[in-house]
Amino acid sequence: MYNILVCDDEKDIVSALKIYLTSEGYMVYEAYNGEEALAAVEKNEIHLVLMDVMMSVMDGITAMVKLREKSNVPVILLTAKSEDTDKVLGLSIGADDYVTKPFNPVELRARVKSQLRRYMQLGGNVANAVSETETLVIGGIELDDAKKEVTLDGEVALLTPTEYDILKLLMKNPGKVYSPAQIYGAVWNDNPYGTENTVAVHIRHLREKLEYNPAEPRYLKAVWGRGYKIVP
Amino acid sequence: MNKIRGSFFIKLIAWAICVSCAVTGIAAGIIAIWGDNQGYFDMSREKQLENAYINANALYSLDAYNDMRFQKNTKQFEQEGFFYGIFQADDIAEVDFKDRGIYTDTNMTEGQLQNIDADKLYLYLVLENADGIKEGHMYGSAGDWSDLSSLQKTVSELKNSKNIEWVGQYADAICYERRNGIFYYRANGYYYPAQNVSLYYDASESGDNYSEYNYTYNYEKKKYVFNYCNTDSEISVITYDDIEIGDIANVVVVPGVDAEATAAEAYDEADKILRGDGEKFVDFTRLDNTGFNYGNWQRLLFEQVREISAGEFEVIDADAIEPKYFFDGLTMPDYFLDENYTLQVANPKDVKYFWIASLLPDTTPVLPQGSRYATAAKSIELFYDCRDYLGGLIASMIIMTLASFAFLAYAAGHRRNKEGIALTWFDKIPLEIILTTAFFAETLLAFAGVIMSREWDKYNNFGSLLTPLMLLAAEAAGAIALWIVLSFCVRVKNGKWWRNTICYRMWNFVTKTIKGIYSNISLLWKLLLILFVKALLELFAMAAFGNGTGMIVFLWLIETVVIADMICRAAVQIKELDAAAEKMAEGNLSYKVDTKKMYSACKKHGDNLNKIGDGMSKAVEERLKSERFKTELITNVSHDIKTPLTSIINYVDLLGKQDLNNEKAREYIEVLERQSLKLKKLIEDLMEASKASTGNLAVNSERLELGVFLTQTVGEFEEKLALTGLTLIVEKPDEPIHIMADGRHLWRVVDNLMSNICKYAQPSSRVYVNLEKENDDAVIIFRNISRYQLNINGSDLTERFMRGDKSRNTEGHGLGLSIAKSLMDLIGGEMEIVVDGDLFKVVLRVKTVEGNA
Repeated sequence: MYNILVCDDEKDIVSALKIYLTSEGYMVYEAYNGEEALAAVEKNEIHLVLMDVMMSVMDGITAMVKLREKSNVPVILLTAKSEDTDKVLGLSIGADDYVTKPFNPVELRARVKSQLRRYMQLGGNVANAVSETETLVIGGIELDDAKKEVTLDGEVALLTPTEYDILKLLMKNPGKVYSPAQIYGAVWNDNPYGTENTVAVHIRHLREKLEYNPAEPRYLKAVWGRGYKIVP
Repeated sequence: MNKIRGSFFIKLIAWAICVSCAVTGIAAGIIAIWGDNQGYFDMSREKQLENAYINANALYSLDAYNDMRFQKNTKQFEQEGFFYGIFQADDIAEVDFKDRGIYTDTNMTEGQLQNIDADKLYLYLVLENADGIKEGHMYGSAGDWSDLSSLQKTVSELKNSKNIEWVGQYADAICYERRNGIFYYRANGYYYPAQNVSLYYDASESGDNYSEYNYTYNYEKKKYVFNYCNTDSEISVITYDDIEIGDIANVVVVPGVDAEATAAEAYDEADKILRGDGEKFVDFTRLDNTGFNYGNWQRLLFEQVREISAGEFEVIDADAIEPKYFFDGLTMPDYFLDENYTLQVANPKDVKYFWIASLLPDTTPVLPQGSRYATAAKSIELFYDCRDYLGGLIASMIIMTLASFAFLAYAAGHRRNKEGIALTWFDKIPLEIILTTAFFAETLLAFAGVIMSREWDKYNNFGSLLTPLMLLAAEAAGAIALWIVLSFCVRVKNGKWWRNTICYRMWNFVTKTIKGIYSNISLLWKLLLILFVKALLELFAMAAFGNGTGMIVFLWLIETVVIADMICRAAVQIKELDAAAEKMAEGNLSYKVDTKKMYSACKKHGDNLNKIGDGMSKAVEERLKSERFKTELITNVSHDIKTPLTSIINYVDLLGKQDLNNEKAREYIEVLERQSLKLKKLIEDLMEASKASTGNLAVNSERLELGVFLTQTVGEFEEKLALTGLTLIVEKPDEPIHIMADGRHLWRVVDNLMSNICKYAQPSSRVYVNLEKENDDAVIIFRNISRYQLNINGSDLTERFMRGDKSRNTEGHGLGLSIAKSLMDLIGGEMEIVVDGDLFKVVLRVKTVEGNA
């Protein structure tokens, strides 16, 4: 049972979020500006904060800075601003994730779940390290090579053997960019000869299985004109 | 023909024919001309031989004279058949050739002397003056002289005309011989009659005219002949320039003026006498009884050089003089007075002259081998035999020479198996070097030829060109000349032959240098240079035409300095304006020209420039402001729309999860969901379009490989395409094509294009994506068949909110192509849309980068 604080000056949005999160079994606290949010965090044991950026009385960025002085509770910023600079600003002052409005309820739910899992189960540490020799972990994705099993935020994802091999290759070297030809060579043990398209299709399938929003992937990223990589 | 003109062997033959025929033709021509001059074409063989022998005798005679003169013995004359006798005589007619005593040197035997036949005795005259300069003259046979006196005259004329020298003698006085009225120059004690005399009557003091009476001395009658009388009021002062200088010296006597003489009657009387009084010859003694007598002559101008003093003018009597003015045998006086007051008198020189009498050998017997006679006989033999064919030979030689030359000129520069003109090393040497070298070579050959001909001359009186060595030298000279002419042909054929000359190269170099300097110096220096040159030219002109008087030069100097100052100021101002315009062109619109001290024309221009700058910066500022405002507006509105939209989307979602049993409600919720998502997409695209078109997007360019890029794209769209039954056909080259671009932007472009294709392509048709390299550009071409009729042209499609079908009843809002185009601009590439019937074609063009980094 986790406590989540939802803070937005738009009451309807707070209500909608409350409905979603309560249905998932979370305890939801409400706040309508930065000051209220800080007070709520002070008063209650909060495991995660969902906070709007543009609010009257105290905006989300100021509230974030103050909150970080006391707590390292995960914060997901909710904002209508979608520019890269806004995202960078939010993340650099201590936000853990960033969801732009209008958001997809499913995606939001997944992100909440992911942040909570990291915070609660891994103690808030950045722990991408391989805990067991045969287990690879990137963010919410865990690949257990012994069981040939992949889980996303604890839920088993059903991958085909090829998808599994591609994921394993990428996860062995997080951040490294593999060209389609390299991936093909490593997975199929063969020269591609114009069949690199296959790789791109498998990557998309992987995204559909491992990403909440495949159009804006969080882990499996395309580096256009060069290849693919997985990022924590 | 190409084969023939390319053949080196044929050319070599033509070359040989050309040179040998030319030399042969010229040699034959010279022989023909020589023969014609000698009249050999009409002579019998015997006559020719005799002429040749006479020529040989002349050469032998000079040798004999030289031997005698220098006490040498260079030739065995007897062995060669030449017999002679040298003698001196003034009168040939009185010479007895049979008398051994007259000869100073002879090799004739007594028998030969006694049997001398005047017709067979030829005379040769050698004149030698004091300087040792000799002249030889052949005078023909002694028996042939029909008129000895005319010969004698010729001899004396020869002596005098050729052997006099002019000796300058100071003329110490002008004399008037009063008995006969004759004027004399006196030099060295001799009296020389003045050939031309002018008497001036000066009546200027009484307001009357000058009168000049002119006379010429007649040597036969020893009197003066009146020529003319000039009356001229203009002659106020008699100067050197006023009086013509004759070949013969003038004595100018100016009759004085006294009271008696000015009387009209007295003057009329004197005038009559001075004009000769009806006689041909003038008697000056008749003046003795008038006021114009020699005692009253006041002023004397001598040869217009100077006024002579009274002491230099003498009045003498006839018996005191000893006139000297003839030389022996001459009818004309040989003296004249020169400008230096010196009498130039002809003086005969000491001339030695010798006659060489020589015997002409008989033509019949065989003459000693190696002698001039033998060679002459041989030459005559040859000439006589071929004289009838000489014309034909010359003509055929000319034709062959011309023909072979024409062929060589035609074939010059062509080589077998080679197209066009082929240059040899020789053709590449600058023309002047070749011509200079050739000139020296030809001179050397000619020199060698002359030396050879001199040596040959002693034996051959046929002209020296027939020596084999001479011919060889001529052939070499001809070959060299032909080589150069043919090289010139090649150069002309190759075009612009003057380029390969030192002159052209130097000219080129100089003009280039000047141009380079001129184009690199600023306007100010150019103008100063021009002004400097102009001033120099003007100065030069003034000096040359002598118009440069002090005042004019001074004014000119002031004018030049003032004009130079004005022009320099103008140049500086123009430069300032230029700099200002350049700064503005670079975008520095705030730059201002200082027009305070400018000329009005420049000032106006400068002010206008400043105004343009102001106007432009205002316009730019406003435009920037409006763009910024627009972007801000769109961004803010988007943000404001997003918040309510979030609620709408969420509550529609929540509503959809409610347990509704109403089918209609379910349907409506679906519409709400679809339309709210569409609204969301529209807002996102609107923002993107706004930012992309104003360049408000961050660009992170990196190296991309387009092959990989396309692979990734295909992967992304595979399923979507399959959904509408579209078949994607991708064609790309094997080698990688690298570009520099922001991958995400490019992806967005391709994403938009592919999304459009998915939306608007005819289902179950084929979609083609081609990657090509065109020069330095990478080109991606998308082609598909449109589902709907495209009633709009390609460029309009990139306008915002424009859709090909105009019906707006399908998904999409018309921003996709606009965004794609803006992003392509941002990347630095181009996007072109071609609509051809139902074929929809998009061409992306991006510059490639090299290497494999």
